[in-house]
Amino acid sequence: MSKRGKQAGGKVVEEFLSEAQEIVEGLGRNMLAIDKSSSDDPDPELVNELFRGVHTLKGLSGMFGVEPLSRLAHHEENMLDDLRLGRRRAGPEVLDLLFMSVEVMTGILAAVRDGDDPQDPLLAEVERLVRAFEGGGEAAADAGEGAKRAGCQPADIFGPEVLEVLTEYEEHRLRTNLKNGLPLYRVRARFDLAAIDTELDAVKNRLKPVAEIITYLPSTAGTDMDKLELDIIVALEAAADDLAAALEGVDASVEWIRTEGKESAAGPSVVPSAATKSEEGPSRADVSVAPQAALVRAGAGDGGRALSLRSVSQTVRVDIRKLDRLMNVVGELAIVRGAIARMSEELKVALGRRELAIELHRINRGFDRRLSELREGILEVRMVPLSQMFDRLARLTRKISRDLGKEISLIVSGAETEVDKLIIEELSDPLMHVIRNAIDHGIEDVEHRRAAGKPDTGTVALTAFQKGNHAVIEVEDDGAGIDGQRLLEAAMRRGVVDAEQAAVMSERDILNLVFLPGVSTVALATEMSGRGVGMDVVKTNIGALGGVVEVQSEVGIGTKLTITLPVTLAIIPALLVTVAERIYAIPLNTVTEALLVSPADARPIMGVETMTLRGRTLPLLRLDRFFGAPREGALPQGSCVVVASLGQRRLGLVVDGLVEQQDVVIKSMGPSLSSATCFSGATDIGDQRLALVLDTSKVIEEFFSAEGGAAPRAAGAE
Amino acid sequence: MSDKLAAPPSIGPLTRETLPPPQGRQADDRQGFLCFTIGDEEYGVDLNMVRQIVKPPPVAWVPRTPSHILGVISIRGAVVTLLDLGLILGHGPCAWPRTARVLIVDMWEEQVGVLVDAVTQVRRLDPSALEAGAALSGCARSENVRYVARPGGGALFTIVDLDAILGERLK
Repeated sequence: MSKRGKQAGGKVVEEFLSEAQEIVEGLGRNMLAIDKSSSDDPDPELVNELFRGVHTLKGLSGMFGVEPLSRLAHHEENMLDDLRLGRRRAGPEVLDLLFMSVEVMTGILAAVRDGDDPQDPLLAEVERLVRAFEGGGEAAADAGEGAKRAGCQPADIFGPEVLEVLTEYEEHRLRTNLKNGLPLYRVRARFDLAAIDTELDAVKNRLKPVAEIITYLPSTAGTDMDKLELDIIVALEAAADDLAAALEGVDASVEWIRTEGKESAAGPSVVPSAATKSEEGPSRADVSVAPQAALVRAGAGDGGRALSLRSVSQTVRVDIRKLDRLMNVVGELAIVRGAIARMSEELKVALGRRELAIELHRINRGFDRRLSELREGILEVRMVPLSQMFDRLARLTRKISRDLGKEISLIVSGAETEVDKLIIEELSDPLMHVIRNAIDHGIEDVEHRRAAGKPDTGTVALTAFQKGNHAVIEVEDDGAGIDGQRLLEAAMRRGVVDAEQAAVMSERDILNLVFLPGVSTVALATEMSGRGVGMDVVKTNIGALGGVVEVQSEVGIGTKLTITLPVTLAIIPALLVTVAERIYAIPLNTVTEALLVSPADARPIMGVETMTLRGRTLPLLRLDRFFGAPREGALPQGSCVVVASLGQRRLGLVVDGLVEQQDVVIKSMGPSLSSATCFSGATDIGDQRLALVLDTSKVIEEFFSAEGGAAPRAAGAE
Repeated sequence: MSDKLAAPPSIGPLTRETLPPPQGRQADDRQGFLCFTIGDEEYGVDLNMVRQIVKPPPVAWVPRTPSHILGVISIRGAVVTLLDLGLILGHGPCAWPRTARVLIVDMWEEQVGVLVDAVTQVRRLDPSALEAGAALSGCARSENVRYVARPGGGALFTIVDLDAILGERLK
């Protein structure tokens, strides 16, 4: 019943959630960036962005009546306001509070998503944060005052008309930059009225690396109706030449306003060149300097600010289910295409219809091409970079390392690697667990690290890259590594492995024991890692995505977990095969080749049927037997072997025949068939018929775990 | 998924609107049951559970599943598990007569197809015509019986508790 209720307001709530989530994630990103710069004087741009984000969140949550969130945002906003105006210092403790607030916000959003009101531990946390945000504001109050007294004042540069329209923040930034002796420039840029949003954004992006934008003032100098001129006041952080270079090709002129402290601390070489630059600035542009008074009378001071606040977004948020629906349509169109192809074949045979058949064939080919373009387009839309998730993981790392009192540096690379959105959703929990494990169990405490001659700060590297059809994510730590012997003992105590098996296990087999439920070398499950989710769950979850996890470890050096995932889930090229007169689909990404075999090719080795393929032993699995419909005797004449490989392992799947290669849309089967693990779903093959899609990774895994230690080694690559 | 029942000709058009109001305390206390046969027995299920009645589409057998799971079928683009109700109720495997139909029923998280030999009619029964299944308690498979229906004048039939039957099988 409550489900109904949720559906009623669902759309609105969903929109709120996705927007709020986006903001909260943005906050986290900015905080990380501030944290990384690790100074008490964070990039004002970042602080200001934080402020704006929290401000928007406040409005949003107020509108949707999520009271705890708007209350938290309100106080956080006040605190950030103090921060950006220099009334408060951004020490590590402030940053801690900010990070904590992101956690709490995420918690509140999760509660809203589940249709609950945020409950007590969360609310208490909100109150704690609110109190913390309220207190301690005076600490750095003198900073602003100090700046006021010393040196050049904004009033020395601008007339009161300009000062009046500056916001408190802009004035503060102006003052701070003057104090720091950065030269001020006026960039007068002309924009097309119709495209001002994008053009302004472009200019902003060019300016940001070299200068801090303090404010935008509209200029009245331009007479062209279709153009708008803006004076962008910037504090130059780089050399003047860089500013000119950054504005290369932009319809803008640059004018030097002044530098405080002459050739002082800021860097003597900068200033003179800046001065010369300023000489030629006005001369090369046709713009006269408008009187300051006119600027303000135009009353557009507010307009300028509005412009700077308007966020220009070219993106659309789409519910993933809508894309799924589109993808289904594509799948159905593919079936139509098949039907047309069949018809054109029949026409060709029919007497006197040859031209028609050729024409139809041609049209169908065009249709086919457009269809695959459409399919690729939709797939592309579904792809999102891993960065969002990596940001979340970075926040988590920070939190865990603080909680455990371990110094961790997280090195992230390849965050731009793109994966299907659904995969990201499913991946985030397992990855969180892996990282938690790495920090909690992998990285030793400082004493042990020192004793081992390692730096105090532990390193966890999170690396992603694309490899063919797969995305690979590696989590590597420089911790203590996994002690295979202890792992084996633990597994034997648990009764998972008996002494006989233990004697013949390879190193890799032993390490893989970490993925078995209940096997751990850690005597005490800590608060962090002992909470239910084990590595077995990680493996299961990743397996459900069609991926594999492999672990490498060396005692004393570290551990590396490699997760290999398909890039997309929704639609895959597959090989349709027949087994016992039924059609099955085998995903092509796991197929390396398919070949005809004769009964004489098969040779049993230790009871496992094998064949030799280019000088290497390939174990065979008869799919009919695997499916439980065994036919005795030798391989039937005309059998085919589909060679499937996953990681290091290869397995020959024996089928009765190959039908064709086709792109298939995998549709999941209901929970009632969750026990049918060797299939990842079913797919339409026309005429209302379904073909089951083989989950090759599961089959390979099952085969090798059932066959024990002997077969894998025969199959392994040398 | 759909608001309409695609009924075989023998029943006539059925729409959600004609279904009895839930827990009807008002005008009509009678409850609707969709009746069907398996072997020579007649059964009924709560009409509210039935989403759709379709002729059996091609079935894709799913290897390594219990025998009462016949496989999966495609219903409006969705993959639906098909169960042999006869096998579950102790009749032996379905012989796929030409009258065979698949009832698409709502279970918790998914829709499930239930294969029956034939769909006969929709009956509306007064609560007084329903005898609690307790009378049979202790007999084999009595846990599947929700009521024994005694329509005035007509033959008895069993109203099965699909929730209980399928719930146990689908876990």
